[in-house]
Amino acid sequence: MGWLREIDRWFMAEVLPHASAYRARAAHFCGRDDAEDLVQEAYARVLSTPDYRAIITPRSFVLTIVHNLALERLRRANVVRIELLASLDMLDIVDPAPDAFAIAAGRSELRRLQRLIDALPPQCARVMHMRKIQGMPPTAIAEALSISVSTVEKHIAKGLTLITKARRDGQAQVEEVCPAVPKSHSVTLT
Amino acid sequence: MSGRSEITQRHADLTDEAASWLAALDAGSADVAAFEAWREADVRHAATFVEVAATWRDLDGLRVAQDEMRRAGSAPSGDPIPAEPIFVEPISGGRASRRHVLCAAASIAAVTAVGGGVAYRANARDMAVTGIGQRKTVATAHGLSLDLR
Repeated sequence: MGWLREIDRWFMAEVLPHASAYRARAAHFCGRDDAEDLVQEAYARVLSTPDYRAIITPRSFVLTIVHNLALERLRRANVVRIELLASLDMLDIVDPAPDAFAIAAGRSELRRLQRLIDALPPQCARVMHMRKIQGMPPTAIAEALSISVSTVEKHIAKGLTLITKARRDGQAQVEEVCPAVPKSHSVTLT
Repeated sequence: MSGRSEITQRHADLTDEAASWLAALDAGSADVAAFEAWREADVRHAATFVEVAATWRDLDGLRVAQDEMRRAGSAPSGDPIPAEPIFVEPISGGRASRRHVLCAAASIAAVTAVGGGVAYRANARDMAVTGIGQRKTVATAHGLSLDLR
C-alpha cells in the first residue's frame, strides 16, 4: 500500500488496535451518539501531532485526548450525570483490560470479517471475495464478471465502506460487555 | 441536541469518500495528486482514510488464513493462487511484554493516587448537602460547578 505515509503506518500499528477502548471511553462520557464524533476528533488530533514518534504509549495518549475532549464537552453541557464527575478522575484505573482490545488480528476477528463480506450485497460480496481472498487484480475481476473496471472499483468502495462502518459498530458493542467505570466507583447523590 | 444526525452523516460521507479513494488507488485509476490534496485538506480526511486502509489491510488476513489452510490440505481447491506476496508485519514480542509491565506499574501507581483522591473527595462531598427546597452551587475540580437541589 504505497499510498500510506509513515504516520499512517504508525497509526495503524499503534493507535487503531485499541479503537474499542477509545469508543468505550467516549461512549461512557458522551453517550453512543457522540462517541463516534469524539473518537474521530481524537484521531484527527493524534494525526496532527508532529512529534508522534515520541509518544511512548499511544493507547494512553489517545485515551487522554478522548478524556480531555469529553471534559470540554461536559463543560459546555448544562446538565451532567453526577457519577461522571467522579469518573473523570479515574483516568487510568478504568482501563480494565489493556490488551484485550489489541487482539484484532486474531482468528475471531478474521471470522467476523468473513461474515461481514458474506453479508454484503451479492455482487459486492463477490467482488470483495475475488479481490481480497482470491487476490485477483481489479482488471481480472472486471473480465471474469464482464463488468467495467470502474464498476469493480465502485463495488470495492461500497464493500469497504460497509465493512468499516460495521466494525465501528462492533467496537461500540464492547462497551456493554466491559463497562468503562465499575459501579462501585460511581457517586450517588439524591 | 441538534445536529446529531448531521455529524453522523458527515462521518458516513467521509467514510464513503475515503473508501472511494482507496478503491481508485487500488485500481490504479486515481489522480494521486488529487488524492494527496484531499488528504491534506482536512486532518479528518486523513484519519478516516487510515481507518479504511486498516480495514483493507486486515482483510488480507483472510487470504493469509486461507493459504495456511490450503497448505494444511483442508481447503477446497480451485481458487486461484494469490497474485502477489503478502506482507505481514512481525509482532515484536519483547516490546509488547515490556509495555505490559509498564502498564501494570502505571495502573498500580494510578490506583494508589486516585484511591487517595476519592477518599479525600468523599469527605468533601459530605458537606455539600441541601435541605428540601434548598439549592446550592458547589465548585468542583475541572472548573465545573454543580447546582444541587
